[in-house]
Amino acid sequence: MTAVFFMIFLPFVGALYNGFFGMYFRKLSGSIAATVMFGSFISALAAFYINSIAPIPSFTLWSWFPINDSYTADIRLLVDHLSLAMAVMVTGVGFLIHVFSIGYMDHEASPERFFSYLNFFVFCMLMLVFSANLLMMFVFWEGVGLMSYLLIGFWYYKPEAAAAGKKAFIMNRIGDTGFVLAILWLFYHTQTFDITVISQSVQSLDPFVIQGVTLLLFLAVTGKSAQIPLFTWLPDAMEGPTPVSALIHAATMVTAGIYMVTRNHALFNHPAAAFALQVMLVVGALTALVAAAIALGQNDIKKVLAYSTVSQLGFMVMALGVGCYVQAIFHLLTHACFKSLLFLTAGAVIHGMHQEQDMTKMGGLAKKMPLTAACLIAGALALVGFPLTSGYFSKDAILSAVLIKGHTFAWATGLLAAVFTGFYATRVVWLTFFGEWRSPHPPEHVHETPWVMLVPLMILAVFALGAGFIGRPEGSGILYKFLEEAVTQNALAEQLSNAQWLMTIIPGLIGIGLGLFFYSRGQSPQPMVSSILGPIADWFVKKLYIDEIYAFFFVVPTKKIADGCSYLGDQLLLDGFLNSWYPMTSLWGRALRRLHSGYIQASLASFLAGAVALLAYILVRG
Amino acid sequence: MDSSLSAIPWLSALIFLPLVGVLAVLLSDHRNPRASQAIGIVFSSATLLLCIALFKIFPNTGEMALKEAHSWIPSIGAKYLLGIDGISLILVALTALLTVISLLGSWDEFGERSGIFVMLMLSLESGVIGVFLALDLLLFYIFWEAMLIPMYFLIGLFGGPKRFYATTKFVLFTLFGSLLMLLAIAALANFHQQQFGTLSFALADLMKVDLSPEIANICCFAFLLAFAIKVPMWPLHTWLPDAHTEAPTAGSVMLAGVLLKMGTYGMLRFMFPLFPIVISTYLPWLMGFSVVAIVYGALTALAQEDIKRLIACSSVSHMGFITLGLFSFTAEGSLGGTIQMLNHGISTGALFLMAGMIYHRTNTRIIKDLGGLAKSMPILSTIFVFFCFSSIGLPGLNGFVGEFLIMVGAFSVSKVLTAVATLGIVLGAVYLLWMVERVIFGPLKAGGTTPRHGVNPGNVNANANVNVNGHEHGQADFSHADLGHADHGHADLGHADLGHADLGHADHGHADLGHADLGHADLGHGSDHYSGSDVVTRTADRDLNFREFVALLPLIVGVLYIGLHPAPVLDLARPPLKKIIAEYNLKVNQNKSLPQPNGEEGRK
Repeated sequence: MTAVFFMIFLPFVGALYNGFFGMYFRKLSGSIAATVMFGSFISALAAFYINSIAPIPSFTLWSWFPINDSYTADIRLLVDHLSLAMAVMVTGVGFLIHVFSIGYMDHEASPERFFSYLNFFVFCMLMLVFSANLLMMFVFWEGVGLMSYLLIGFWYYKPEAAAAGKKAFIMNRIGDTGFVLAILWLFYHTQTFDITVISQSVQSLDPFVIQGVTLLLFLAVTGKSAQIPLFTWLPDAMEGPTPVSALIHAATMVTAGIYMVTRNHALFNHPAAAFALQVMLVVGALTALVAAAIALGQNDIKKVLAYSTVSQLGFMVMALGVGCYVQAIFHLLTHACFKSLLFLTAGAVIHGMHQEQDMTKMGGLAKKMPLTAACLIAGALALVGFPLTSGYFSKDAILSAVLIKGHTFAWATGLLAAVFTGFYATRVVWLTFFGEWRSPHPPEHVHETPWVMLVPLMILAVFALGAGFIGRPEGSGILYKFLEEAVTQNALAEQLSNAQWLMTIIPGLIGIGLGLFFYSRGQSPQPMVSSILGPIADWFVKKLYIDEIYAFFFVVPTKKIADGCSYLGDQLLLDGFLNSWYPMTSLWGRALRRLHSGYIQASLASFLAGAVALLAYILVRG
Repeated sequence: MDSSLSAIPWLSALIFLPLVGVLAVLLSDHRNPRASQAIGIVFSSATLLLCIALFKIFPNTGEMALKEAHSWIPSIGAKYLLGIDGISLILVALTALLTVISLLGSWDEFGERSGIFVMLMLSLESGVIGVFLALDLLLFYIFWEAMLIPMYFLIGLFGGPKRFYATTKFVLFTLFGSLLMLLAIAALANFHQQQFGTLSFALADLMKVDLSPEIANICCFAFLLAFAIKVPMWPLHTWLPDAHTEAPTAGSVMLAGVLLKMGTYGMLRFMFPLFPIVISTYLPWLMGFSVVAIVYGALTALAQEDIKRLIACSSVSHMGFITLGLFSFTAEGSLGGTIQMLNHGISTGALFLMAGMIYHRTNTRIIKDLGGLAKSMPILSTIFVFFCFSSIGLPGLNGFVGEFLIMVGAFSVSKVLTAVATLGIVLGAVYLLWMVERVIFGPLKAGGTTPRHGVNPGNVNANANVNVNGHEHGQADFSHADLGHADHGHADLGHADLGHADLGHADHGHADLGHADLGHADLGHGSDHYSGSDVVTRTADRDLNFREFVALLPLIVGVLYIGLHPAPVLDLARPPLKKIIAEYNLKVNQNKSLPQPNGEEGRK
């Protein structure tokens, strides 16, 4: 308990320190934030160890929200193998990224703000992971969203950064309505938010409720984990500093959706959730493919990696869609290592190139920064799923699970996405590190990454290459054993045949081969592909025009309707109606004014008339 | 409670303490801004302290406590009846708090006219507190109308360029509804006389009156109209954006913070208990209207170009949430609605206050003319964004607690309406974050390092000319502006052509005071207004000063406290709501179990 407590609250304290006092000791802010994260990571390991001896019970931090007389939503931590596994990853990767950031943010004017946000993000993420009830999970689900908003907009004076932050928050909010409604619906039937209680009472729930709730929860996943149709915020989020992209938009926050579904797997295991699972499989497969395709056309190194993240999240969602939660978590963990590695190396390159992000203006950097290059290649290999790297095992686990469950079409989509992955990964490596020097800067200014940034890269590279062992052998490896208690899932019925197994590893290699074929020979950064595909290639460069489509169908109409409400509704109709009474009233006023002419004769006359009328009335009645 | 404590007329003290303050301002030199402001703050703080004391001694049983009953107009049976329960206490405390804060926030904003301003604010406070404590309908009505007068003058004397239109619209709207309510009150008293032999306006008495369905329907509608205009519910809301846009900062804070809650409070306190059976048939419609208000209000907010108007429109949306909770009339929904009254008062009050601070520094509230404030005023910007998120309903802050409870309640009544209402949550993030993006983030546009006027003196003259048009004192403005030019460097120019830069001020340049006084100086001279939008010049931007920070601090604490530990506040409102709901259910169920003439029971 103490260890869990320290793990969560050390980053919180760090955030407070940097938020309120950091500006007085700017030079120190990064080191303090990283130290705090180190403490948090050690605590996570300690908790992991303690838990393996004697399980840590769930415990309540404080009593938060009395909904009605019978139920109070607490801030309560659920400690089990699933949350611990996530926590070790979050603190470990988080610590390395904090260390890297010390070097990366060294020219920044107000690093304390950055580290304060980053620490606070880790706190929120850990609270999310340990949430024992859905309401608390939602609180920190929004909390990480807030920190993402603030960190994307860290350079708030850049209009693009401010706009990207807003877009991220709003798209997440759209998904979050699903989360809120799912919570409300479950509460209506179970009178609780407690995840374990809900999981136990799944069988007593109406199948229609299960179907609705699982679909609504998945809506929340599409927002947070950037799936079709709510994925366009993630590439824009690259306006934030690169360590942010590595931590929040690759390793941790965006995988919260995957974690949330796994946490609530009892709901998704119910037969009534079959439709939601099907939707997830289709959406996941499509996202994996579409995002990988768009990544082919991007020149900004961070944009490629962003779309790559969307695509890899698509793979994880596919795994969820066939009910293989552990495989999804497996890929989540390996992806956290290799994708944060890729982002950080990209950051190192950008740092070394003086904020240049366009790959067509790079090239030949391997000579200048060989260690960075080696790290990036390690990450790329894992991403592609090169045999024996971590990504190979986890992606293989997902694809074979999809195939065994009989979804050949989704499997084939995944394979095609893997080909694209191989191609764009090769393209990134080649355009950045090989070929000729294309930068306008003279090569003398570019130097190898400083050690404070390089060491985290190397550690991550080791994990990116080697972490795959935790998922081997399939179905009974360390990870499967470890998560057995926390996650109930049906074991896969069979193994793949050798031919099918080959089919799953080949696409990545094909992609690499194609990439090398196109890039190693041509001098131009624009591959011959574009000449072969012609105008279609342009679609990929333009991100399939999805932002434009959304603008046309949603953003512009909403603004039109809003203007309509304000000008047509409020001003013309409602106020127009009211103001139309004005002439009538003043007409009455003018008419009545004649009666008050002020002439004594007129007054007397009307007085007489009234008296007569009154008299007549009394007489008639009487 | 000890009997010696209950002997003190606590509630009358709450109502009359601010009026004593008015008297004190009158007796002192009310042309002395410092003295008047100080008196105002002393008396409003004393009222607030009294409220805090009440928290300690107040027994929260759900029954009316600390009752005071005196004969008032015996010939018509009107009595001076006061009482307080958890709901009243929350709203009274909110009123007292916001009065102190708006007085603090408008410290020497009005120069010589501070005295009048302070008197108006204190009488407003007194009237509003009276509304929240009265248990006699006639007394309630008197307070309800009495508080219109100070508000009318607050907008009419201290408001923006279209203040006459706005304030007349505000008063006419309210009067229209409340006069019908007066007729309904009279009718109720009359029926009481028919059935019990005496005229009475006491709520407890009138609840016993047996009304025929038609009469009940008409009376209930009159009450509903009066309260719905005040809330305001869609489509009776159009007075609100105008009133807010034109009102001075303190007026907006009070208007949004507490005056709107008079409507929702009236519904809970009077409409539901008096007409349970009728209102039970209206509920589905009223929930529908609330949802329309949520979405429609959010959409209109999206279209606004003026920060204050945007916040005003967002109020329509947020008040929609409150009424949605009330009209769901479940334990959770009504609780959420009640808490949200407090939350909305805090968040929107704070946003209006800060909009005023931004205006004070940049002389504009037009969103497109602002930008990059985070650069020039980091602390102000941080706090502003904080309150925006509170208003958006970020979990962990106060708004979420209320909104979530409302949705729990509404969901158990109508899933579809609740789902539509979540659209309001999304739009809430859209309009506020979009505003934040344009005002707080982005490149620096307003004030600060590059005052526009400093570069181009011609510009200043042009602005001065704008001022001349339609101003009686235009010429004075103009010449002062010129003096300003002649005497001072950049930073001072902004002050100078705010008009009136009476030389005394201009001499000490841009000391804090000087700036504050000058901002509204021409109001102080009793000349016609100047409007923010036609004066483009900007004063040098400064971050929050200590006084402003102190004004905002209680609101910040409130946001966090209710967000993280809502239980004490919820416990305050729960017992009285439980009582209101129980009484309501009892009557509605009795009515249902009565034999229906055409129903099956009737045939048997």
